[in-house]
Amino acid sequence: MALPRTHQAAFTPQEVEFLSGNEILTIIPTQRINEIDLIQKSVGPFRPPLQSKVPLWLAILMKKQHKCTIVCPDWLTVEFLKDRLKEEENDADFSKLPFHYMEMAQLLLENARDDVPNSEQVRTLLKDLRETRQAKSRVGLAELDDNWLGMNNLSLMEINEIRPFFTRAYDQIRRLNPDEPDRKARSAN
Amino acid sequence: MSVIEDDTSTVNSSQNNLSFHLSQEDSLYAQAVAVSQLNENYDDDQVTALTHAWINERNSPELLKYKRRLVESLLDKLREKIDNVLDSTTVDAKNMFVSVVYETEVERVRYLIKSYLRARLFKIEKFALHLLRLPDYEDIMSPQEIVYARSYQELLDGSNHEAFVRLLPPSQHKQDEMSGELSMIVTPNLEAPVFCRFLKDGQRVVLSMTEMVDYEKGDIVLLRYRSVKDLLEEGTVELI
Repeated sequence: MALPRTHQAAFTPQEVEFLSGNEILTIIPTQRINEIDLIQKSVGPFRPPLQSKVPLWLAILMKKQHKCTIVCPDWLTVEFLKDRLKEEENDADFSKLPFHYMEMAQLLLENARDDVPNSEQVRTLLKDLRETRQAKSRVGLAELDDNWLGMNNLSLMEINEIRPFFTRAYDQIRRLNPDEPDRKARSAN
Repeated sequence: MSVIEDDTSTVNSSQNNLSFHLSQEDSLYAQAVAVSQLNENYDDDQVTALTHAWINERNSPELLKYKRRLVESLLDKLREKIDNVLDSTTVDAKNMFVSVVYETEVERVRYLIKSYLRARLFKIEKFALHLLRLPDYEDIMSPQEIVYARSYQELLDGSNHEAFVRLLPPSQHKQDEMSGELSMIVTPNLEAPVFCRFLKDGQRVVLSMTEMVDYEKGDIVLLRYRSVKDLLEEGTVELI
């Protein structure tokens, strides 16, 4: 009751987006704005054309009000993503991508398309990356046992996607294991 | 101005309404007054720390310790922020923007605190009887949560009694019997799998069989909760 069913097994996409809002980005303000004393920390003062570092939620807010342009992060470029895609296709492990890359890319491409060079290409590359990684997590599922499963460099959104299924599967495998001392788990789930 | 802490009922009754009592009275922001706040020196700022606490709470199968200092300090800062943003008759474009920024941040922090409390209430409802019988329950739950757990359990017992327990023979009325090793009380499943990330190098984890594995900083692993419970309390591991 305190948590609706959609929130019980994993985070909702909106919550994941909320979490990514605290990531720091660089912006170029278009107006002079004095220092703003937020609860988390102070931001500003903003003096164009000097760059400033702000949290993602603030960058998107300012962008919507035309008070800044966003400096595209290094990883959201065609070259970087092409490299990563190649790595992804050749390696069995996951390549290193920012933890919140999906949410940040989505927000930036939606709200700051003009600040991302070659946005259409970037979009396609991201889609390819996502599909390759999803295929790899399916392979990981086949290796799942009641021990441990390493999955370095997965991003939060990807973990969240597989979380409900993996946790259920893990639990069932654990219960089927004859060595398991605590088979009759007496919990509500 | 009513305080968030007194109103656990509001949390439950307004599932889709993200505004607490506070927002109904503070709807006019006109001018932001820059208040130089005490700069508390945490390694992580408090919002980040509470965010981690929220994520841990959502992912762990049992109720974790209540972060009393964090929540109370953030509530104080919230109240201070809201009080200091005055009504003013001069609203021009620039002030409007700054006040929108303040308002957005206040909403974000409120949402964070609410989500943290909600995640805890969910587990309190699931394990009310078990939690109230723990020896250190006062550490784990805040005073308001203890009151909540007690009233919830009473309501549940009353409702069950009315519905069917009174129709059973008196010897079957107890709701917390032990039968061999099995107890009727619902307890958290500590064998549940969790995704976690290691924050320090060279962590040795003892898995349930006679296996030990070393992990490095930054490793993301799916493990049983029981194996990382202690590391989580120490802070060398975070759930994601």
